[in-house]
Parts: sequence; structure tokens; C-alpha cells
Amino acid sequence: MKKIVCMVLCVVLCVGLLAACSGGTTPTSTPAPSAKPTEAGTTPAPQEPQYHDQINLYIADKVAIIDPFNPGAQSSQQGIYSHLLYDTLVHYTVDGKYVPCLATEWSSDDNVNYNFKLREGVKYHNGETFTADDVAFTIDRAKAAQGTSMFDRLGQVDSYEVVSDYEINITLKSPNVDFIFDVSTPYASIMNRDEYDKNPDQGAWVGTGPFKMDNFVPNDSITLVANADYWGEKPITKKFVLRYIAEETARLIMLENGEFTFADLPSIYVPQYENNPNFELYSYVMDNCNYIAFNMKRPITGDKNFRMAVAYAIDRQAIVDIALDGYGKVVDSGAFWGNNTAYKNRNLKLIEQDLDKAKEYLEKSVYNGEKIELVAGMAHTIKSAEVLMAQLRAVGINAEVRKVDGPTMAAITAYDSNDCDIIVGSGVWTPLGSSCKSYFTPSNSNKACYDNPEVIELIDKAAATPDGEERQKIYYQIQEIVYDDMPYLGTFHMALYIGAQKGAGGAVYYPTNNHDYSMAYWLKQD
Amino acid sequence: MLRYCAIRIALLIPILLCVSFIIFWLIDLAPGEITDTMITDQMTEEDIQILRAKYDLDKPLIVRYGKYIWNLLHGDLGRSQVSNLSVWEQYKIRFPFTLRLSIYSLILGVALAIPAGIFAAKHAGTIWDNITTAIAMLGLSMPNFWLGLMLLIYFSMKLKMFPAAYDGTWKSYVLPVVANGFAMMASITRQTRSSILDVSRQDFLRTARAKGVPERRVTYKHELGNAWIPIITQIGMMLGMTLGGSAVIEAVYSWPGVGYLLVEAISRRDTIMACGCVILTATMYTIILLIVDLVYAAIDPRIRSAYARKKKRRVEA
Repeated sequence: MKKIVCMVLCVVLCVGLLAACSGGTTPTSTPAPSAKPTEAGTTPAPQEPQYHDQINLYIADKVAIIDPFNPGAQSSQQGIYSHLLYDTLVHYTVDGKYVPCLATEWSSDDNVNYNFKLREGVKYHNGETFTADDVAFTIDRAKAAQGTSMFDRLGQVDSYEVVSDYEINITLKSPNVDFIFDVSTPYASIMNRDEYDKNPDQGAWVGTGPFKMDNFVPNDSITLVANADYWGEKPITKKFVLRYIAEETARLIMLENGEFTFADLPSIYVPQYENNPNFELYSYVMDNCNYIAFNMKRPITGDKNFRMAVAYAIDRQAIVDIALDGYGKVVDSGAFWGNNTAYKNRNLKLIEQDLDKAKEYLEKSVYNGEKIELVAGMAHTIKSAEVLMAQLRAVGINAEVRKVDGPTMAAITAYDSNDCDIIVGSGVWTPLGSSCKSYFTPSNSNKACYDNPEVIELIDKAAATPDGEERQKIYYQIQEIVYDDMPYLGTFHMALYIGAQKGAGGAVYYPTNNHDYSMAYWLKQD
Repeated sequence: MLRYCAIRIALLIPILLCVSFIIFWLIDLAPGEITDTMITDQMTEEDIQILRAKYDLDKPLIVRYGKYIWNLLHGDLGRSQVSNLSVWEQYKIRFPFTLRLSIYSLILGVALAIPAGIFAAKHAGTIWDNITTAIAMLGLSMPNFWLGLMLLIYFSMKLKMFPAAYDGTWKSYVLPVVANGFAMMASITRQTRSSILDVSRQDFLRTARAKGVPERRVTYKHELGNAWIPIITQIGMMLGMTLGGSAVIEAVYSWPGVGYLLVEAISRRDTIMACGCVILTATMYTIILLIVDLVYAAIDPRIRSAYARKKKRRVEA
């Protein structure tokens, strides 16, 4: 009897183990990415439409509160819901054009003083009329909201003058040729003064955008309904539910079951949706650039020979293949720059893997077998760091990965107190060349603690140079100097994938991740 | 009895003071402040100081803690440093979800575990005992999240019987309750089995059987009646733990409970929210343990008489 019991238990355990280890139809090996990511763009609208009334959209981060003036409320999904709820002064299209939105005209002679003529007849969701006073209110609140994205865009305003209900002059603290871009991002959406006065906790629930707030459940979902009085093109769908789901498996099941109309796909699941007749697959390459930052203040990583050794030791394609399952784009230039960021110097040659040269440089460096920490904080950067660790160990660098959470990463890599050797991170880049300022001047995004007065001077000069050719020369020069100093090595640009139900489209995917779903639709299938 | 309850509730105060200080201290010790992820490249040093001052981070730990306790003594649990929403309001919205999940899981767990435990004890040493013990061991050793995911994949994706995330319908309760209840069942089954086995060797059972008391009555009245104390302790502790929220189950099923709220607060360094959640959870835990103690007295005449003797001694003194 005992033998029978033992056998039964063994069988049960074996079945359990097999069930736990089996991956079903999920591929575990690196797939050959047949559907290569395309650049960001729009999806065409169908011709004879019969649409679903509701679209359920997965959002990749919790939204604790909707208030762009609250520094604690910053969510990576702010750009997505802001496109639906609010409008900006100027609209920035995915192909890089500025088109009128709440401002019908704008001008500046010196990039310090800007004049905006505003659209008449625009109503907020609460029935109030949009005027220049709301722009003034938004600027005032943003300037006092340190730590918010609003502050980053509008904190540079020195003063303003409300000329009339539909005209405002804005003066900046210093010249900025990119100010129109700043006011075109969803992080500079125009709020309503009256609503904030009446209801401070929910003032930001009211905007002028194509959708109105219906229900908000903190950290869970935002339900929006179409704004019938919208001044611009009317939205196609009647109701939008944006929902955060923490568990990846649950999210994918919800997409499979039709509970999500659009949902982000982790790269490992992309092959399941490629050529799947029941789903649409959208993709784009982010402007963000993943990097290896060497702490220039530390003796070993501050040594150029050591940095050259690392540059020759790494195989970027292997990092993409393993960390992103092949769904990423290796940087196409030696410059540390955004994928489609303006003024990218593509003449700078990317250093390819050469293990002999890596060992040669390592020999010449001050490195003597010390432990080198690779600090990483996000899922994909941790995976990248693990691949990098193996590659560095292959040439004799005693590398180890240190995983940290967001606040810890921010604290230990802050510009003034950075005590890490190498940071494996992901850097935010916008379409503007000026976004290099974050990485090449003293700031907390400058994880390499790179400090070259010549570069800082050139960056300031570029910000005040309106002429395109002249700016290009300056940015090229900046990239050449940084390339030579090598505080950073760009590795890859992430490709992101969105799975959607058959017939769902109309979303505009921005490489900055601030996607615009205001004209999204879900076509009914026969 | 009343005096005993009053003392137990009074003891809650030093417990809560200790717990709240430990949370404050630990979050302060952890690298990074709540403002670290808010600081952007456009901010000057003055802007950073203004931002830190908004969160009282320019003040020493003891001052921040003193301010928190002062507000707490006035019944104010404070506002989340992330969302600026009232901690009490947030907790109040989420707690009913956790409560329902805990109660349903407990009902499922107890309903299965007590008969299973008695069955195993009655068949101790046989194959039936081994099978029951093996299932209980499986429940104890199987990680919660793994069972949760397996249930999701099978019942939600393949059979499409239940939703993958909370959607407000009764169906969305089924999978989290089963995942949570299974672990409870395993633990209570083992406790029931061993308690019954302990009691079954007592002389009074032999006497009862010798007197001709039917076996069913011996089992349910005499054996189970005397085995209740450790089982109730186990049930009480399980309930206390799940009322604090099961962060893993809540994350797997997108359940809007308090467990995930606490985890999220700690990861964002939201000291006020984390502290509020811990204080409320600790209060509930203590109250549940007090209720468990009172239930002992209600079901066990020996404990009841001990209370009575103490009371009599006090009166005589």
C-alpha cells in the first residue's frame, strides 16, 4: 500500500512540475522578428464604418490622481489621458508639424517674447468659455508646481500679459527656440480656472478635450465619454475606459478575451499576434535611447582606456536579442542621441565588438580586477545589464548587476551624490536636439556626471540659435566632443508593440509614448 | 471580562506607536525620498528645496513623526503624499473589497478544511490520511501567485468562465477566493487533523464511548469541541493576515484591496499612506485576536471558569 501511495504522490508531483515548467504555445527562444517595427504613424480610417461604442484601453501605469499640478500624481500615462481630456495651445503632429489648437496663431521675433492669438467659441466640459485668463491661470499654477511636467514646460515663463480674452503675450526667462514644442506637449494642457477655484481636488477633471470625465477610480481606471460639444473633429467612439492591470498574464488574457481593445504587448508575446487574423498589431520605435553611462567622477570608469575596453567588449545585437527578444533597434550611430531626434550626427562610427581590442584597452587602463557594479532599475534595463555583465566578464571585467527600485535609483545616481560605477539605463529623448541637455549638463538625468564646459556652452548657444543649419553645426560639434569623451555608450532603441482587436485602429503612436487615442475606433466585424 | 478587553485595547496604543515609528524609521532608512523621482532637469536648487519642504523633508525624522502622531491623536491619518487624497478615505474605499475576499476565502477554507481534517484524523495512518495530508502539503507549498496564474490561464483564458480582473460581478470573486482559500484550507486542515489526534487520546473519550455515546456525537461534540482552541487560533490568525491584504493575489487579479495599496505606498516612499495602512491593519489584527480570545471563553468552560475565578479573587480582595 505504501508503495502505491508513494507512486501516486510521485506522479502528482511530476505532473505539477511539468505543468509549471511548460510554456504552452508561448515561445521561449528568441524569435526571428518578421514584423519589424515601423516608425511611428497613424492607422488609416475604414470606409463604411459600424463601430463599437466603447473602447477599453490598457494603460501601463497607475493613475493615482488626475492633477497635473500635483508632483506626486505624475504618471507615465499622463500624456495619453491628457490627449483625450484636454487641449494644448499648439498641436504637434506625429510627422513633426505644428498646427493650431487652442491658439490659432503664434509668433516671436526673438524667441523670448511670444504672442498667441486664441481660438474663440471653445467650451470647457463644465460649460465655461475658454479665454486667455485660463492660459494665465495654467502658467501661474505650473510655475508653482515644482516636480511636475507642467513646471518643466511652463516654469520657463518669466511673465505674461493678457492683451484681451483671446490674446496673450508670454515672455520667457531666456531665449528658447523650442518653446512652441514645449507648449504643444500634452504636459502643457490648458486647465480651467473656475473649476479649480470651485473644486480644487477635481479641477483637472475638466478640460476642453474631445472626451469628458465620467468616472475615475484611483490606481485602477478612468472612464471618459465623448464630448458632443467638442470644437474640433468629433471622436468616433462614444466611451473610453482606460484601465491599469498590474499582472501581465491577466492583461494578455483580457486582450485575448476582448476585454481590452488595445493593450501593450511584452516582446515575448509578439510572435503570437503576428499574422493572427483575430488581432491587429501596431508597433513603433521609441525615441528613447538605452545607454551605458560611465561615472566620470570614479577613477576606473573615469579612465578613457577602461571605457574603450567596454565599448569594444559589448555586442549590442546580443543585448537586444536577449533582453528584448529581438524586438528592438540597435543604435545606428556612435552618437548618444534619440532615434529620430533632430540633428543626429550619423557620421560618427559605432564601435563594433572586438574582444582583442577590448582586452588591449583593459590592459592599458587603471583597472585591476575590482568589482564593477552595473546599476539598473527597470525590467528591460536589468535584463540588458545581465547580458552586459556576461560580455564584460568575457574580457576580464569583474562586473556585477545591482538591481534597485525607482526612488533608490534616483537617489544613488543623483548628479551631486552619484557613487555608482556604471548605470544601465533608458534615456528620454524628444524629437528636439535640445533634449541632449539632460545628459550633457549638470542634472540628475546626467548619470555619467559628465561635465565639459565647452559642451555646456555649445548647448546654450544652440538653444538661442534659430537658424537650422547653424544649429545643426553646433549639435554636430556637441556630438563629436561627447563621442570623443565617451561618457555614454548608446545601445538600442526599444520597439513597442500594441495588440488590438480586429478592426481597431485610429490611434496615433508618438515615439515619445504620448499616444493620441482621441480618434481611435473599433470597427464591428460581420 | 470587560476589564480584560479594556486592557487589551489599551495595549493597542503602545503597539501602534511602535509600529508607526518603525514604519517611519524604515522608510527614512531606505535609499531615496519621495521627491527623488519628481526632481527634473529644469529645476534649480531652490526649486528642489521648495519641493522637499512641501513634503516636510527639510525637517528631521522625529519632527515629522511627532507631527504625524499629533494629527493621529486628533483622528487624522493624514493625506497620501502621492495623490494628496485622505488615507482614511482611500482605505475605506478599498477595505470592503479586502474584507469580502477574506471572509469568502475563509468560509471556503473552513468549510473544506474542518471535514477534511476530521476525516484525516479519523483515518490516521491510512492511504486516505496520506492523500488528505498530501493535498494539504500541496496547498501550503504551492506559491499563491502560481496557483492564481494557473487558475487564470485555465478558467479565464481557456474556458472563459471567469474574468481575468475584477469587474464588479460575482464571477470576478471566484478565482481570487479559490486561490486565497486553498492556502487557508491547507493550513486549517493540518491544524484540525493534529488537534483531533491530540484530543483523541484523552481519557474522557474512552469514557464517553464506554457509556455508549454514539461515535458521531463523540467526534463532533467531545473531540471537536475540545480541539477547537488551536483551530480557532489558526482561523483568527489567517483572517488577520488576509485582512491586511494579500498583495500577491490582489496584484494577480487586479483586486482593488488594501494589500496592494500598502505595497505601492512603500515602493513610492509614501510614508503617510504606508503608516496609515499599517496602523489600520495592526488595529484590526489586534481586535481579531481579542475576539479570538473571547471566543475561547465562549466555547471552552475551563477558560470561562478561569475568568470567573480571577473576578472572584478581585472581589474578595
